[in-house]
Amino acid sequence: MKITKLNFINIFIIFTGLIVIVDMWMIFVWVPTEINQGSIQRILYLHVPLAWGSMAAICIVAFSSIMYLYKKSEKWDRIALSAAESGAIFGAMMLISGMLWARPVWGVFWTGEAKLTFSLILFILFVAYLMFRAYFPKGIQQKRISAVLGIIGAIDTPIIYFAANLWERAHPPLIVGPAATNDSSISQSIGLTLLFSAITFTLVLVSLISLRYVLQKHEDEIDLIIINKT
Amino acid sequence: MENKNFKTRKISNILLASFFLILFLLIPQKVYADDDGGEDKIINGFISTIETTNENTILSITDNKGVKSNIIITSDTVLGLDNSVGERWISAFGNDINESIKRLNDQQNMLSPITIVVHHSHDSEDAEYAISITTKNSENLDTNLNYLFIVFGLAWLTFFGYIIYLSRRLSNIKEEIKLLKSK
Repeated sequence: MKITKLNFINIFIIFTGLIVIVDMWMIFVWVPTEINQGSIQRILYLHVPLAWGSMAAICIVAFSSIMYLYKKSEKWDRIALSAAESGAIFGAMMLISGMLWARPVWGVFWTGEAKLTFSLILFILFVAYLMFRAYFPKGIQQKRISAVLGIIGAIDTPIIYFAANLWERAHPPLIVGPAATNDSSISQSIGLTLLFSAITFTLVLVSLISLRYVLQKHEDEIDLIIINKT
Repeated sequence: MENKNFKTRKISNILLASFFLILFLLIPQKVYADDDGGEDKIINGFISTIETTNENTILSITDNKGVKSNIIITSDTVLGLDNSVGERWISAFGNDINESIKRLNDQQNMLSPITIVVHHSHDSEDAEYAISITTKNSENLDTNLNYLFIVFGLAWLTFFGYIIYLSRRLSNIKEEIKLLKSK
């Protein structure tokens, strides 16, 4: 039996689903309960990978947009659109999960600090990109302007990443990456669960982008058929 | 003689009254002289930063409303800090400064909610000094589980809903393509 692109995506989604089950087992069964925050800390195994996923998505949008402007290939525009839509879902869930974690831990749903504000801006950028794609007349002009929007939007990513270090407030400091503070340390089991969750949600992001990409390709095909017929 | 006794008694009474009057006026003055006019308050929050200078150590605390306060730790500040397995370490800050800073860093990294009794001084510096810093015991952990289930439930509902929506749209478009090609 020949494995088509869609079949491959379906297999990939099923594989991601199995990884998600393992991830949920790790979050709810394997990792011990954090002593200070209690079970509510488990939200961070979802919130941190969602934040990572939304930042990865805007980077994919920016990279694909650059490639589209350079190569003029429809493929890159489709990837940018798919990543923006998936990124918007990741961004919305990141904000909601962060707010629901903050309520019992900080006592408030939202503080106006830099990291939170720039994360909200990232979500608004995704929405603005998608609204532009939805309401601006279809064509090369639409794709070019949205590509520029996508590239500008990616500027927000390093600001979000470094915000906890630049403007220290209530948000926990960075524990992963080049800007992580030297004295920050998390236990091995918590670190491993966080890493596995990050991998899981990267797979979820890739699955969503792939599925959306195939859908967009078919939509473009319909447009082409209609244009050819008229 | 009686007149003399009366005079003496009168003088004694006046002296006694004067003594109590002076005592009444002096004692409060002594109390206020020791006090700088400041007041004590309790702050609950998380440690944002720990800054050590040559002169003192300043703790930056963010409370539940996101308000940041800078509090000076003195050598007399009493610390009662739990480690990750709940063992409490009690010491005055001045007894072992390095160990105290290490323990405070651990509290910062663990995101431990802490309670600080602060003395707000009204002297020329208008500074806040920590009297005690203790790990705040987590309260009502079980009652927060609804937030946990809302977050995970909402997240997976959104993801599965989006995948189902995309799959349905894909199958509809495929049929539409077939229909357009057949025409």
